[in-house]
Amino acid sequence: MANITVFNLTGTDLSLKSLIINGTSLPIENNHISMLRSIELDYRLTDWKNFSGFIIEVEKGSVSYRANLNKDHYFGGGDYRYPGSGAKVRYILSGLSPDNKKIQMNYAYNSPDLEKYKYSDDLKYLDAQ
Amino acid sequence: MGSLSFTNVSGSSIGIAYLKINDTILIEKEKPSEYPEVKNKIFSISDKNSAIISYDEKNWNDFSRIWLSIEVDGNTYSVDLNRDHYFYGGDYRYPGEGSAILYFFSGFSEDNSMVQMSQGYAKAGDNNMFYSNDFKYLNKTVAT
Repeated sequence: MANITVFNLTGTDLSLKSLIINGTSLPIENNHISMLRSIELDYRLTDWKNFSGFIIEVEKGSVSYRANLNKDHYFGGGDYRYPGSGAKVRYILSGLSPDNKKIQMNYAYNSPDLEKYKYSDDLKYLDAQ
Repeated sequence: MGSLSFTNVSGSSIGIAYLKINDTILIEKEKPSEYPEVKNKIFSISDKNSAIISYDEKNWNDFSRIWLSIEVDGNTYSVDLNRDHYFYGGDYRYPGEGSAILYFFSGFSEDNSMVQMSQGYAKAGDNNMFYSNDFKYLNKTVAT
């Protein structure tokens, strides 16, 4: 079962161009995400506690947006908050800035043994390239 | 046309038990809604799904207050936001005629006493949604 979900709540379709965790680029079969839809990916090469860095790049309306978060700048939260074996995480692309230069990203996570996700009360931003 | 979308990314199925905007009750679990567009089927939103309803009783900029209660696993979580405590943002950030609002339920607190809610918004008919950069929380209410 996939343990990473990426949601598109930005209003129009987008493409997930790249998702890199701890230096490993995850294979993406179909990178198109319609509005209100999500796609699922899997990453368990390392335990969630050994997380070091995360890069996401999406394309929306022919503009690329990118975020690069190392462990120190990653979303806040409790146990299971990093992607990896023993965790499940959700990246929620939640809208554009008024000048279209940023896409906001919300986050939720938990143990894969539990149904509910815990929220992070952090927000991160993908910047137009 | 004003529209409201409720999107569930919390992992658990969510039932909308009560929704009142300004003077209009749009969803009320205990009795059939007087609002014609509300159907029973939207009361439950499974994980990763959305329910969309319309609300045109007032213009977005005449917004004064929203009340929302949801049910998860037999527990009820509620929030009551007046205009002063509503989500931040620019024009069209309030529900009503002329705006499109997307509320999403983004997870639970460690002790399951709260559900986080976030918002995106747009001018009705526009494609791109803008983000609000603040969170609101539904608090678990004591069972009656």
